[in-house]
Amino acid sequence: MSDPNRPKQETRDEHNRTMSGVESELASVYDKWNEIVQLPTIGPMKGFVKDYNEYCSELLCLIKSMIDSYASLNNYWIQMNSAYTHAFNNLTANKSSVSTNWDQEQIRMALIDAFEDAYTSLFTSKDFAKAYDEVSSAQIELMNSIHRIFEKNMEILNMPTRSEVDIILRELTELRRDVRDLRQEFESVKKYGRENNFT
Amino acid sequence: MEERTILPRDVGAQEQGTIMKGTSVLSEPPYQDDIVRKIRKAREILSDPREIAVGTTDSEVLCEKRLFRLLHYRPLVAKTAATPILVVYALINKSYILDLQPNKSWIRSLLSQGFDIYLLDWKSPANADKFVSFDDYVNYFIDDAVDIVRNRNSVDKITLHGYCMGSSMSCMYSALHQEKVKNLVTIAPVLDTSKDTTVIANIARYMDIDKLVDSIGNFPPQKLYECYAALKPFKQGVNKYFNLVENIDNDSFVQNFLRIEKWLYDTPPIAGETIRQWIKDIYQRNLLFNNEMKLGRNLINLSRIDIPLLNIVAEEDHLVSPECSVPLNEVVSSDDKRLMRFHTGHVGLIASSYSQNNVLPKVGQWLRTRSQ
Repeated sequence: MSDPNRPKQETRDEHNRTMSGVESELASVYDKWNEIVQLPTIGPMKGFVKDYNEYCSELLCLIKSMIDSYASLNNYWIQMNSAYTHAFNNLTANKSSVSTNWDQEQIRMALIDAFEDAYTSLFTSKDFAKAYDEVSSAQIELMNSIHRIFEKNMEILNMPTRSEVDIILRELTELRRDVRDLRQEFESVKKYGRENNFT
Repeated sequence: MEERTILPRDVGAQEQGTIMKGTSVLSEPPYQDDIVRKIRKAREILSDPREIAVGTTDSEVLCEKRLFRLLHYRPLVAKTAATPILVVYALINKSYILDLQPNKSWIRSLLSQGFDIYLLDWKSPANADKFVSFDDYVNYFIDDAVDIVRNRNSVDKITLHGYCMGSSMSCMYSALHQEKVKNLVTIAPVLDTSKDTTVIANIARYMDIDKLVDSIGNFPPQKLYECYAALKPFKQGVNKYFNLVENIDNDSFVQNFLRIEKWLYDTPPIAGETIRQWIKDIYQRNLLFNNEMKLGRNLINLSRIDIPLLNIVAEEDHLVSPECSVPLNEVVSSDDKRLMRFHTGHVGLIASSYSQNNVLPKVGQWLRTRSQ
């Protein structure tokens, strides 16, 4: 038997169907635009429109990331709303145990307990952890799209890109480790020399 | 329709700033006025908390490098133990939680029991430090601090004492450099993450940490705040503000609230490669517990640890499950090992009156017999 506290499955399915319709429509538009911007690839025009094409492509990626981000948020909010409904339903289902003589604090604690149980059970569930990661990943993708546009700008300005700076930082960190290793080895050789009276 | 019984107001309780009993509050104008006043006052205090004194125990900075400071606390009484203690704090939030206020200070209590205390206080990594890893923290930074403490005290070995993530790092260090460690004291170590039932462990297990670190670099404080917001969201997250409003006229309560609140939101970023290892190797693959984690070229084998071990866990810890910390005692080879369990939470274990009265005297006793 289905859980009466959960929102109706049909409502969620309907919502998901509507969303997937919107998403597929947007994906179709995205694919068509992508094909159009790839068109001028014959002859010298290819060189002239290279930057334009790359920017268009990045902007389209940015739009797609926004759509994905929105889609991932839906699943997150469905779960959050479901926990809210669950908490309220639990509270009303147990209303016989709620005394009419209860004071403000007791009512507050009953509310807090109901919501705490519902949300903690949500936050410790695998479904939530996956939904949270999807939201987080979609936001990172969105940010990555913006980063790529900035990297392109930096290239145009003949300035080092973030990827190039990262290479230097990684090498710097490794060099620091090498220096520390060398220093430690030097210290141990010095110590050995002292202990064995080497001059 | 249900009828609500309205009981008389508890004026005494109101004067003490505690919770009012038996009222249908919002219907009574005088109470309503008072609650509005309290909410306004709470809002004013929270928007302009002025200076909140934390970490007030007197100390000197012995060494300051790019990513850490080594503090030495000035003694409060004559020394009763020959072995100095190096406290290794976590990379999450700031170390002053160990010295939150004089009557709830872990550090001060150990000092007043005659121990010589040093603290490894981590500094915030900059974007340029995103490739700094646990190898750097354990094999270089902790090692540097250990050597400084050993040289300063002319001793071969010290007591290494970690808190939370700092405990896990202390375990890593002890497994690799045991010749410099006399005793290992851990508080809530993150170890067997397969048994961790907390919200943090759940989120960490499914986090695409590679994508996050590759894209963002250092782990941003906002991500940690997202996790905090999911920890006891109503019992602590919401209820604490009700309690604040109710106790807004109690200065001591308000100051305690502000100190903890300051600490909660004083969150530095975590170096990218370090958090990648933390989430991937420790939470997702459980490599530290399974003796398969590598720092640089070194494999960490916890079973190599055979020095005296004191492992302290909180039964109500909602950040690190006790089940995750307790197995440390099973995995080490020490003959002299002790597990202390206390009925409190992760922060209550180190920064509370309960801790001062119940935890620290026992910790001091254990340490004293092994520090001569």
